[in-house]
Amino acid sequence: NKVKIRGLSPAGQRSYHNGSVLIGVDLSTLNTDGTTFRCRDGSKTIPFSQVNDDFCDCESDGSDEPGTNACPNGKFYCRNIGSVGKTVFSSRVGDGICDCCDGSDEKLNPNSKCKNTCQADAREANKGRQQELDITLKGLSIKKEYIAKAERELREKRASISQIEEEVSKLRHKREEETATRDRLQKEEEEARAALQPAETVTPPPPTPVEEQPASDEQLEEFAEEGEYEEEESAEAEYKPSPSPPTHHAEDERLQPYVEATRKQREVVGDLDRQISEKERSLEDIKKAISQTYGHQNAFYGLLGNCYHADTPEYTYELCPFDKVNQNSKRGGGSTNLGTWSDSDQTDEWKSHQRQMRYTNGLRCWGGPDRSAIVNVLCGSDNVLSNPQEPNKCEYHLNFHTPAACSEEHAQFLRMELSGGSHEEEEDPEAVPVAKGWGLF
Amino acid sequence: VDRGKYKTCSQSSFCTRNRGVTHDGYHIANLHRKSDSQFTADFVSPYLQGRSLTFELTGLLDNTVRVRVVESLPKRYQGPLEVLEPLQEAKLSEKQKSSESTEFTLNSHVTVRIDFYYDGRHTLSANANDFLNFEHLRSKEEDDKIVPSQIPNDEATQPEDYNEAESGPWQRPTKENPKKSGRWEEHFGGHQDTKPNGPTSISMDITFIGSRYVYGIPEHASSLALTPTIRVGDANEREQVTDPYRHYNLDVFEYELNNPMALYGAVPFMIGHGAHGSSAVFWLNSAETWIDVETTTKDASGREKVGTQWISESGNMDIFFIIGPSGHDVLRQYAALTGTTALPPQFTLGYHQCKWNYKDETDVANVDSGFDSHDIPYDVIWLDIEHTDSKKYFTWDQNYFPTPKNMQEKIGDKGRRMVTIVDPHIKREGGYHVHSQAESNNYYVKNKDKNDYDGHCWPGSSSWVDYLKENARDWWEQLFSYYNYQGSTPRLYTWNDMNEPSVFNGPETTMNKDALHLDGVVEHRDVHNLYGMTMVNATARGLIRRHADQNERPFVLSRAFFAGIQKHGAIWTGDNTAGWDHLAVAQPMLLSLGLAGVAFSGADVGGFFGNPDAELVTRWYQAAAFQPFFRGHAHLDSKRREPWLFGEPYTSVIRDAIKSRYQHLPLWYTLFYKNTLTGLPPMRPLFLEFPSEEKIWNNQDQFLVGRELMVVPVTRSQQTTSRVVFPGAQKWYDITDGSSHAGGTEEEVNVPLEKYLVYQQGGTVVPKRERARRTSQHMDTDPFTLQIAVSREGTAEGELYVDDGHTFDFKKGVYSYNQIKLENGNLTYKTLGGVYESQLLIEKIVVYGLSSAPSSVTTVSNEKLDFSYRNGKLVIRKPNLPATREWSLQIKA
Repeated sequence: NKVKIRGLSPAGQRSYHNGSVLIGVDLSTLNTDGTTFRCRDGSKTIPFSQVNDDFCDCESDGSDEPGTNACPNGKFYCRNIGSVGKTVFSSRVGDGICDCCDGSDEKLNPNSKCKNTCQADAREANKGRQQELDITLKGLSIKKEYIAKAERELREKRASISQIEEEVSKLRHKREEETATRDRLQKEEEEARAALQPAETVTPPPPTPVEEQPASDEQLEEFAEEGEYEEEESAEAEYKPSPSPPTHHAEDERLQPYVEATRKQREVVGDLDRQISEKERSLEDIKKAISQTYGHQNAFYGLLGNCYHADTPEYTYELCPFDKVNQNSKRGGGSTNLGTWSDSDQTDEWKSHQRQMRYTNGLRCWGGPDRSAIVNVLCGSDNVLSNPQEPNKCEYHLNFHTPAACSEEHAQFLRMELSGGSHEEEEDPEAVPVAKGWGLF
Repeated sequence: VDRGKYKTCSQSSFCTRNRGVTHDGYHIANLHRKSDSQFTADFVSPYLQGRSLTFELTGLLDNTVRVRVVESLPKRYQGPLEVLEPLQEAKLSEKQKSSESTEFTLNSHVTVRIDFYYDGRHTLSANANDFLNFEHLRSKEEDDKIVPSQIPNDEATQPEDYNEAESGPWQRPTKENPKKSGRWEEHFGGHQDTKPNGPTSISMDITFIGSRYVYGIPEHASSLALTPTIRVGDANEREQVTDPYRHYNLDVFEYELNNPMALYGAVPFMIGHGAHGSSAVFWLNSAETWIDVETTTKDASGREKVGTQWISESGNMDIFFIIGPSGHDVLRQYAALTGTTALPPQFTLGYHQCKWNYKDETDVANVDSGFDSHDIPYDVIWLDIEHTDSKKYFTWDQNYFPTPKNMQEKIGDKGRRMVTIVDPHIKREGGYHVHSQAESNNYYVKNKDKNDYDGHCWPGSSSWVDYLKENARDWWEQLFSYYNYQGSTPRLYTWNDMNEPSVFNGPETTMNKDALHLDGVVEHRDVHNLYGMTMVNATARGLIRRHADQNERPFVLSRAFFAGIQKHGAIWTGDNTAGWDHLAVAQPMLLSLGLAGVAFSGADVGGFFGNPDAELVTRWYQAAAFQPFFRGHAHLDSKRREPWLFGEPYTSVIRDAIKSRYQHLPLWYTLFYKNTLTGLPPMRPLFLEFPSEEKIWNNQDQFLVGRELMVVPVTRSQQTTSRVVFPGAQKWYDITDGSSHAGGTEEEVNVPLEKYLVYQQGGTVVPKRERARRTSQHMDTDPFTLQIAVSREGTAEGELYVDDGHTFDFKKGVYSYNQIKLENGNLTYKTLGGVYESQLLIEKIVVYGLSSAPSSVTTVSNEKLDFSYRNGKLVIRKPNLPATREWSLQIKA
């Protein structure tokens, strides 16, 4: 009494035969005469002869017509023996288009020209899988190098931190000493100047020089370039650039040694400041570099500092991973920033799977948003940027193939697919590729 | 909108010269009956300086009277007569002498006035307010000689607000300010209009007697019942409330709602409706036209009336008075003048997916497969201007569309079509074959100096094809041959945009009025509103001619239009905006278009400019699925919005709406066929079907699809309930759940996001195809469902039209038009016309509204059919009756 229902997946068939927990079957009648069928959602019970009779009785869920197109909301399962079974919308059944490699969706269509291509499809698919596997394996071997390099360099970087920090602290200590010396010399100079002052009362105090402005600007720029500067330095900056007031010739000669000593000492302190900020800057760089997420095992670290290019007729697109994406005009229109990397902008697609990088806050579009770029990260045996698109105004999509994105799991999956061949009959209900909630099939 | 870019009446010399200005003294002389159907007379006036024009009054078949005042001089444009169908004349009688149903009285003692009657009842009046004016052709010297005192009663007839400083109608232009007079030269927005023919305007007032509201005169982003522009007080004093409605085809950037400003198209046809029915007026003139609508007043006998004034810049006076007496009558009568809607190829009634711009062939393939993977049907994918090589139409950008034929074949394999854009501006670039051919053969519109008109549009410097020229038209048609349009296939159709025409650096973003057509014979001023349609006509003919047998129906979508566009193509409401107010205004706009004969129209789903949120886009799909032309479109700067991009629950709700459209395609197709018989638009305002229900005369929140369905779209954000008026005496059945509402009631109905309100009227039959398919083409062989809602009397009546869906064979009788009738339990299927051999079946008959289960359902041969009856819903299972042959069933109580 085995009944085969056209258009049902093996899981669906089995559930029916077993009279198990699945609905779609009126359990009360199944074992006696099997003459009725209850719609999956329980909305209706119909004679079993109306299953797959090309009339939709279960209008709310389409469950009585898994093998025809009578229900607008139904699904059809193609067994595709020799290849992989799949579920298609019932709208595809008998519409003249071959959706299943076994031609089962068009089997009842007298005009169907569908041939069984499952074997060829499977061969083709295997060929594709083999190629993909080769690429993946090649990528994985390169990835290993990336990981090793990342481990080595990141370890070195981490190690260098304490070393540099120690150097900085030494320099700071030295700077304190030298600053004290400078302050002392300054004081001596002032005292010497004060000692000479009473004799010179006739000389009016020099007007506050206005021309100090340019020097001050230069100074500020220099500081700005070096990054932040401390309060103390800022205070110093205020008087440092003041040019010596015009002084009496005789006074000059007597003060000269003091002035000279102070000047030299200031240079010493300034030199130390520069050294400190240089060290601090490199420390910051290192800290930033090691704080980034380079993906699982830091495999993507190896891409740092490199840039990759993709061409369209009008532009060359440039991806510098963990830095920026640019669009460079081929007609001499210059370069446009499409976005820069920020760890905090990354979505789960990057954080957990390393599938998608986001580059944000690019150059603002005229009348639109800031440009941004999404880079789809794919496994490759080489680092290749490709397929630049602008699906929405000023929102760019690129594909980036890199060994860093190859995974052992995927290689394993491909190997399994290649060795397994057709394993349709072995599928358990949970694994049947059907829409959620489609219990029967 | 930047209002400063577009003229107001006060900035238009001829509008100011006529608006509300009376001219008594136009009268007729030597009236005589020329034939049974025609009276002629001399049209005379002191204003005409001794010239006499021809006056003609012609009776036409089916209660229509044509009144013409003609100045037969070569310089005066005599058209646009090409928009008229062959007219059949009919006996016309003066009221005193006969009892014909259409009559007129002509009163011309001092000033001519014509009154029209139906069955003795006064329906329309011409020149009751003495606004008639006809500026005959004259030389500048003559014009200069005209002195106000020579004109009888000139001073007395000036309206109170008449301002001497403005150029009055018969005011001699002052030497100090000749420009201001605007009679021989006019300036606007830095552009000069040279007006070599001087003043040539015409004006007439027409009163709709017995009407409370007037409708029509699209295209305006305005209400269905036209908002008055003139307030008439108790003592008949007139106050201008807004500008008159303007007809001047313009590309209006980000148009505003609820005002009378001109838009992309013009149909100078107006319907009046009131307690005694409908009457209408067709003002056949393709020049710039202003139309005033007065508030409703009452005549001496207490009947409501609405006054209107019509002012055109040039051309002859050619007015059709359409007597009705019902709304259905005036639409048939108007269709007899300008034609019915060309039967659309079936696929064009499906869903269209557009975006400015699908970038390349991969993009097209991805969007196409997106529909498949989300189980959303669609029929046509569209390519906007970026698909071309540098905006040179009939070419492809080789970088992004290197294999256009292959691309079309791929989507064609799935039963789909493609539309590419072809605009009227031709890039002036050496080596571009279209330009070089047009230039060397003199196919371009000329400027006032008779050189090729050169303006700015998408491609930069461009010229415009003069489609009024027969040889240019012929050449244009041939550009669509597969040989000339490289990369085109039979799967490719056409979109004509920017054909107002839009000229970026022209006055009001359009062509200069003193540009010249037909080698200098006709000024652009005369044919401005006609221009776009001449292009659509030539394009449609081109699509027909590319097939050797010329047996495939064309499809052209146009933005600009004029009266008669329905014969050539569909239109859409242009560049709307992604806002709830634009969703709401689509209804009155499309209803107004339908009333003016333009039945195949739609608004861009989602709104062209901007970005709709998920709720708006979803509600828009629900509304537009029941509007005639159904296309999603978006601006270049708008985000992608293919139906599946909004996630759940929106994707599912949008899918339901689009699938519902496809299930109702048989109804749509039947309604479009019925339009060719009746002139009735598929999408109708309520008053057309319920003409005596005063409270719905101005209802624009609901609309009908045929008389079968009533649609109540949700047009407000976060709306949870809708107030629904159920007109008539019959029940209304909710098509989504079968629940019913009594006619003559009003109800507050819940509208959660997934709910769209569509009701089937008791007494009707809705033919459907319920199976889901990926395109309309794949439904061709699917069986039908007849969904019957019985009337209170237990009856129902409906039609189903079937043909091959794409050829002109139906014109040779190869179709099947059938009537479905339920009466006394007999369900009959009777062929009303045509013969069509097919295996098409009726797989299911649903009947709503039976009070109890029938005892049996049997065929003529006494075969018992399977049926079920549940909650008032009868389902006859697999009757498998033929859809193209006659049959009957007995449903026994």
